[in-house]
Amino acid sequence: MVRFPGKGLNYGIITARDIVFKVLAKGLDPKDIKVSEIASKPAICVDKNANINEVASLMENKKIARILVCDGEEIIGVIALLDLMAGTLIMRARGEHDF
Amino acid sequence: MIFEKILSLSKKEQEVTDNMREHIKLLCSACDLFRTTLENNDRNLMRNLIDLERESDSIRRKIISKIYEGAFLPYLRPDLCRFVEIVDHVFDVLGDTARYCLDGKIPEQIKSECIRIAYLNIKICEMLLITFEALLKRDDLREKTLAIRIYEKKIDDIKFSLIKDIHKIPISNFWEGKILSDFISGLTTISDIVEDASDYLQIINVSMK
Repeated sequence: MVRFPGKGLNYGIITARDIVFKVLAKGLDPKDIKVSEIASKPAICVDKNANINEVASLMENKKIARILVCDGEEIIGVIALLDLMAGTLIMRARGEHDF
Repeated sequence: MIFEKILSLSKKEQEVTDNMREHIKLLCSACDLFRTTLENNDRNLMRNLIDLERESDSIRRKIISKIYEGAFLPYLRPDLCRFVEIVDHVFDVLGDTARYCLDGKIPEQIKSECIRIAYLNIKICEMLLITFEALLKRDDLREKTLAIRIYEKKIDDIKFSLIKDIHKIPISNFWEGKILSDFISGLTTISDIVEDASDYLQIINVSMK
């Protein structure tokens, strides 16, 4: 997580992909790179009460694999693509989802 | 089909499956009660869990007696009894964990994570009930047992972070540390045992095909 100056949820995210594609693959020296230069911004947030379908749509539309989970202005967690897959499998097993 | 013959037979078998269902439902209620008591710090309610442990023992004895009175084919009886004993073992661990809770105080730093595990324990027990019902309906159990393994993995992940967190908690004497360690161990072992129980359901399922 990268916090940018300013009020509210002004965050970005750096993943291994950012480091590989934006730094290493371009032959740049990681020591010369500031996190703010490669962070994906803005970090996308969902409310803690959002359902799996909303999160899946957001990931698909924004082409991202991680979304922050927020309670108002506070970040309380991160949901990743694999969490979504686990949640979907559980819903299928419970018979709560039609595919 | 042999499966149909085995699981939709006489009154005795029906009584056994009804009791097994009752046993697992009681387990879901016990886990729910445990979470509520943990959330509300209600020590009196925690004592009720120990009563539920006794009730589980009574249901276990009833099921095993009925099985050995002649319910189900002999080759199935050991696996069915083993499943019932595993479910009963969850009650024992839950009861012991409740006792640790009564003996000590859960540090505030780890309380929310403990409540999260207690919540996942309810979910994993509900999934065991769903898996049991699927066995009776002759449905495929693979998706259900996979869901149980997912819950178990989630609890394992929380357990590792909890263990890191408890290293930072000051402990004043040996017994305080032991009670806390046993409490966390009990709380995180429940899902392992439920996973074993679900494996047994799969064994019973496969052995009847």
